[in-house]
Amino acid sequence: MHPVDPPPDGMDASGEGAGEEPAVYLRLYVARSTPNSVRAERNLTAVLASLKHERVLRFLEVIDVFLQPRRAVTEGVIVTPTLIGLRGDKRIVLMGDLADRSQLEGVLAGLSKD
Amino acid sequence: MMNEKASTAQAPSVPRGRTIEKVITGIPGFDEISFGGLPRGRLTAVVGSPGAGKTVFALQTIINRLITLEEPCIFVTFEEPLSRIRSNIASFDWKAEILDNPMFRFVDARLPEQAVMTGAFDIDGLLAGLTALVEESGARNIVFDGIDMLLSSLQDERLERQELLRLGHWISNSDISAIVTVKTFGAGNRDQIRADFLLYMTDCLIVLTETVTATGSSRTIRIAKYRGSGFAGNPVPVVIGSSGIDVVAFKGQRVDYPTFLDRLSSGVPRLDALLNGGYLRGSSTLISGSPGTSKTSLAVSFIAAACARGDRALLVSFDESGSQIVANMSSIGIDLAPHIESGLLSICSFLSGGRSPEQFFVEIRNQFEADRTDCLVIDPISALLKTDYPFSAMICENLLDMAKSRGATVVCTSLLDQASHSIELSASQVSTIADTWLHVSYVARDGERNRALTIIKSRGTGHSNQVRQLVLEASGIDLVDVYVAEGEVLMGSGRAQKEAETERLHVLEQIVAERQRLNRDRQLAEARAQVQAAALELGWKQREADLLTLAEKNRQEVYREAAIERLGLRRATDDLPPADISTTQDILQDQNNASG
Repeated sequence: MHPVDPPPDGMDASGEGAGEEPAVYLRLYVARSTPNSVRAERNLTAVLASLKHERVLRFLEVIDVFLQPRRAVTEGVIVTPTLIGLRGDKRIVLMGDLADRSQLEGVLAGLSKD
Repeated sequence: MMNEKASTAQAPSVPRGRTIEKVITGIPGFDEISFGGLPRGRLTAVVGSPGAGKTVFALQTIINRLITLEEPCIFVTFEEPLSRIRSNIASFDWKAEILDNPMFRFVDARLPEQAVMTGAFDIDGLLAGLTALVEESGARNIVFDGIDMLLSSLQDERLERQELLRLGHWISNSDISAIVTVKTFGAGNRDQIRADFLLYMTDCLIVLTETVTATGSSRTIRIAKYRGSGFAGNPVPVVIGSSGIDVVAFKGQRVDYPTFLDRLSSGVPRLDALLNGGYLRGSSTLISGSPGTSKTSLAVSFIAAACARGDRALLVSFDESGSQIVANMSSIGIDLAPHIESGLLSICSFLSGGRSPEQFFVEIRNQFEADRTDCLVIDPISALLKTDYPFSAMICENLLDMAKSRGATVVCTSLLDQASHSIELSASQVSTIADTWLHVSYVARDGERNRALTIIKSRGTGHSNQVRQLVLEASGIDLVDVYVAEGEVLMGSGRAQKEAETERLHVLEQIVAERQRLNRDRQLAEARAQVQAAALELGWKQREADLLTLAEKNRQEVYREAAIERLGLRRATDDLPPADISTTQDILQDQNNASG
């Protein structure tokens, strides 16, 4: 899985160096290429693409739990796919294949708002 | 819970005819009903209502295995945080620090509360993480506690099945023994479907239930399925006590009980005589009877005799306190105090109610095993049989089973109340297990009540069908031979009366005999006298005859002399030579001859 817009190493969630607005960090935990995970990634990238016009910096990392199991455990990821979104102090968790686009957009919008 | 002796007794066992490998749980009683524990490397599901004890069961199992088999384990929770689990087990006498043991890994798999469901998901992530953890820790046992929380968040039952299957596959591939606990409410469609599916896909399914009754709560455990193994499938009572879960079952591992040939004194010598020496060692005896018939005294006599021999005895009483029993027995000359002091005799008094029969069982069993009891008395065992409790008979069976497996000899008393048929019925159930059955009853006659002891059944001995009178005196208990007259058994003053009557008759008979004898003697004497008289008469007659003969002789002689004289006179003129005095007779003879 190739991550889209990988965040620079060492950057924390408060998103320094991304301008005045804190960046949004999205971590999508997937399980290899199982159907749910494939769908989630597809749905997410599609929605992100549609939101590209927004002046929000989003970093997306796709993590395969089979390749990095420890990360999954430390982040408390139980099910896959799980999307964890961080912005500042906010943290959202979405479980599932993100099939509901409008729901996903709404959540992302909520994350981006101050 | 922490069965320190588990390491000596409980090697994983293979039940007859099957090849499935099992691992002990270490839970007292459970390894017995499962014939060796849970299947190794397979999935076991434990289902039940909230609070039924599923988590305790699972936790107890993996901790036991950690301690006794040194197998690392992983506890994955979907419901309760580690802190809650710690406090839950704090009430047990387990060492709670065990949770800090490096061989015990805890995984918090609770779904974040604020998580939003956006579609279908699966537990691959979790399993991936667990795979790494298993590899790293070398865990051989894993618990998934409260997985229903996860399953319920899936959209439908199809997805549930999918995840359960995924879990099943993971378990088989990981070569780890797994216990999955699932809360069931017994209601709702999805709940039922879930339960059905679990029954289908698991290798072993255990059901824990808790029902609240009028007298408290009662818990049971039931093995609903065990692929590849025989198992005891009936619900069995469960007690959750200070040592954790205790399954109230003590079925021996289907081996024959140790058998003995020697007999133990009942404490009453005459009774021993009737029983070929006493109660057979390793057997069970039931003494039944109405209240006040001195069953307790009889049972405790057995204990006194046991302790006098040096055997260890345990007396379980539901009616009286220890000091009461000691006092009562001393009134019939049995002193229990020295045996208590020496430690040979333990007394368990369960006077307060509020405990369920299975709780009694656990306490009795614990004391029995701690003491290594040789002789056990339960007075009365009918205390465990009351209140229409469904497991009564089973618990009594288990107690007897337990004792017999250890080669202990058991005497139980039972109250047979005419009015309560359920008690009678249960007692008869016990009696089918009891090898010897003695019954003490009251026999009332002529306004008096005496105690009668009947041997109803005595396996392995010929026994008398007769009734004996049971007597309690300051010197102890004794049996008195029964008095049978005209087919009726008599005791007490009726007996004395009958004895006097018989004596009188006997005397009468003697008098009659004497009289008859006298009669005979008299007759004999008479006859003799007659004989004597006849003999006398004979003598006289004889004399008479003799006299007559003599008289005749005399007469003839006189006649002859006269004749001779006449002849003499005539010859004197003829100068006859002096005649030869031939006898007159000759002359006469000649004359006769000449003339004749």
